[in-house]
Amino acid sequence: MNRVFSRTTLGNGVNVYTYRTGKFKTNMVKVFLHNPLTRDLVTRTALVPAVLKRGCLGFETSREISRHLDGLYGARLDAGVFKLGDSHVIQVGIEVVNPRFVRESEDLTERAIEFLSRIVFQPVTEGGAFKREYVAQEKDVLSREIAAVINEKSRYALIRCVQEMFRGDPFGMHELGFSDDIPLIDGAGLFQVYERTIEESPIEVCVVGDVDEDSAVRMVEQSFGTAPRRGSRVRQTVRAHATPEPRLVVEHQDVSQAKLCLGFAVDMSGPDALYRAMFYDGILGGFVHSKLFTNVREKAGLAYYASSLLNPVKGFLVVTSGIDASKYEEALGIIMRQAEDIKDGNVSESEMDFTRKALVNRVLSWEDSAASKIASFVEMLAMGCVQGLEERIRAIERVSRDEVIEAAQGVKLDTIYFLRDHGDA
Amino acid sequence: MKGRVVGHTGLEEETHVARLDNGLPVYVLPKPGYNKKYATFAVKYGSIDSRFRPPGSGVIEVPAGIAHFLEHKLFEQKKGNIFDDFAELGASANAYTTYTTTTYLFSTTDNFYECLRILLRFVQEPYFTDEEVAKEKSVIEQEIRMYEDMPEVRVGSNLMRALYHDHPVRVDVVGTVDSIRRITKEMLYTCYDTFYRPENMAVLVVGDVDPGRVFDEVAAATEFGGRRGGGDVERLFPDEPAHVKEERIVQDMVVAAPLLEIGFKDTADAASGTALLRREVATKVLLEAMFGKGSDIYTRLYEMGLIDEKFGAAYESELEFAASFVGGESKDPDRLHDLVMEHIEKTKMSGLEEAAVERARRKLMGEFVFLFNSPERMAYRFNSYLFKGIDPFSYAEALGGLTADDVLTRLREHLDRSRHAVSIIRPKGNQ
Repeated sequence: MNRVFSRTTLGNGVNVYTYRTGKFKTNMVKVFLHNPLTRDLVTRTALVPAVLKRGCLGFETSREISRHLDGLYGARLDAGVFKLGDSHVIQVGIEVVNPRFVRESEDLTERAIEFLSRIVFQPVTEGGAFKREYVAQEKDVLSREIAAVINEKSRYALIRCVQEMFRGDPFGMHELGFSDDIPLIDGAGLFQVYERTIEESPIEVCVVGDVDEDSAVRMVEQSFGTAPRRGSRVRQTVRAHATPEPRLVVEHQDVSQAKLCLGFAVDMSGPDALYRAMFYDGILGGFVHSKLFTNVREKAGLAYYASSLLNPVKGFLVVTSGIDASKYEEALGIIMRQAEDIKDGNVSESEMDFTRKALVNRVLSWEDSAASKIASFVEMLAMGCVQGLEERIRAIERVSRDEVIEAAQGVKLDTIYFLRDHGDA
Repeated sequence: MKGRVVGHTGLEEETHVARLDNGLPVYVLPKPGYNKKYATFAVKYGSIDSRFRPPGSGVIEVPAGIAHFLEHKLFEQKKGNIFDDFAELGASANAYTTYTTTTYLFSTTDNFYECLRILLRFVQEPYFTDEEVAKEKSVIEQEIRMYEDMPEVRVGSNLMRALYHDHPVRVDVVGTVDSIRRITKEMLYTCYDTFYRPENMAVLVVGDVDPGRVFDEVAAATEFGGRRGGGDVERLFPDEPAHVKEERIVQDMVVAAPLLEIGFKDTADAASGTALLRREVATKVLLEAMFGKGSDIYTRLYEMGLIDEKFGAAYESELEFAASFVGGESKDPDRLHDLVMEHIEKTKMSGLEEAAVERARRKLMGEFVFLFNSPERMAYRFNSYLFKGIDPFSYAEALGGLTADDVLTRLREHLDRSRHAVSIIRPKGNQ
């Protein structure tokens, strides 16, 4: 039960992590390439996976790729970027059914890994650059995606709150980058960013499924082990810290429901800080038994949702809620009182108990999905604390009420972001 | 108690089924090696069941959104909120309402049987007060407001209003701010008593559990206060014309680019679960072959910059209504609409390529296998199929037995210009 992924480092520095389990119907392989999150690179890094998935050696068009995937019984290819602390990670992955369940004799997994490596390492190029047509189309798609951030208001408010909280810090940037950069990107410049990523960024390949670990490594090595690489540029994350006085940002839009988001810096230093922070988040707003749901929704009837979300890698937490604009003062008061309550030691034994059980339930549940298993593993890697399941559960069970209250002293409000209609401020 | 075992050897999955004396069916889908255990207690009662005649009674009409309101209210018990009972056991509970069903559920990795007892008990113990009903109105009003700001929800819900004249499916599952304000605790009890009956419900468990023990636990905890049988409730639906109500609905919202959804209204005359499944599978293969990422038109539209990766097609199929949906975000929704309609007419003339049908079939087969990775999605699919009288495992056979002719027939009878409508969300000028 305490088994973690087995690691094999290939000759060129690519790390392969495998985890064999027979409980899924599919096998999943994911590649992570860690670029530094910088103003200069952000938009181009975001564009790289979009162009990669357009064509590769042998499958030069999207249509050929799609038809190939359909032929592999609807194998799922995904490519994108996300922020992991101060790293900007390119993720390319494939999930394919175990051939046994579709009465197929071919080794679909080997074919999927081989195909994935082509997507990552053998993109369609012309004259030492990405294909011009694909770059132009994907630039257009990316600029539309960046603009579309405004569409979903709860997500938009969360993004804006993070942006305001981390102004002047690279983490404040959206993972898709800036639309202003897009016209300046060309196929050759983008290809250089891609080449440098392949050569210098830390690369992880994770394999989860019913695949013998040795043969999984061999398959990955065949396709990923030959890429020439020189060293790895590793990025250390600068943790969040709160400004002395919280800042209020109000934005007006034509919305039916107002969104109130509060960004808090969370001190992540010291041993077991992660588990204490998880408790703090769980008691405040991570679950339906949490203070926020109980007080904002169930007792005051002010919101349909009110919850908190911890980002342990960067060290912050955001409270999000959807409320009636006229209830701003009341909602803010109730939310802040919950946070103050934890600081003042107002945490009951049952809140500790419920949260402990919920956190154990959460880490156990991650084991039931290959995607969650890989995501939580990659997060642990980024924090430099890879632990097996049992170790994690023990760490959760060790956290005491006093430690949570102590951790609460290191939680500081930084930003209040309020999105509302054009009515009276 | 021992149930009947229905297996699917190719998938290495099985279902244990038992029907209790009071008429309640219980299904167990074992998932060896999974930590999570997932249980649902579902009612064949959704938002469209707003006009009905209980056995031996007159016709009753209730405000839109009441099934969903009732779902919220059941979590409130005499002694307080039921969420805490689950939290105490390390479980998390939730519920959802659709057009045709209400489902209560929990997920846990520990204390499964205690959680199961709580689930069974709280769904059988309605406790509504005027005060609590009033408070819930403000919570649900916020939920409705939240959806009002979600363009992807609006585009779909406007389309249903365009497709349907009188059928209750034209109103959102949550109802409207006005309709929920009319809800009283008496109405909630009426709906509860009418639909929350063993023969109209189902228990389903997915996880590494002992099926026999699940059957025993459910049998011991589902008295339903003696309510059972007594005849079927009659669900009343208006005569819905085959043609659409409006061809086009446009709404302005704060979005970056327009959204388009095209809907095709299907006839609602499926005679049985098997017929319904056959139609569903043929339609899904049709939509995948015509609009999937491997289709010619997808590539063309993408390269023209008219669609992005979220463009796609879906089919929603119920006993009472069915429709297909095609769409996504587009800078020129009218042009996209024209090209989609043109593609349909052309394909009707030329017929579908055999290879495209084969590809779609293979992809859907794979998708069916993917489903069995996730207890949540398995439960969702099984509940939805079982209430429609469909054996979920027969999906693979239906897919295998499908001919290219079946698909072409579907194209000709279903993707009909005279039964289609469009819904567009346009960016509001000057924000």
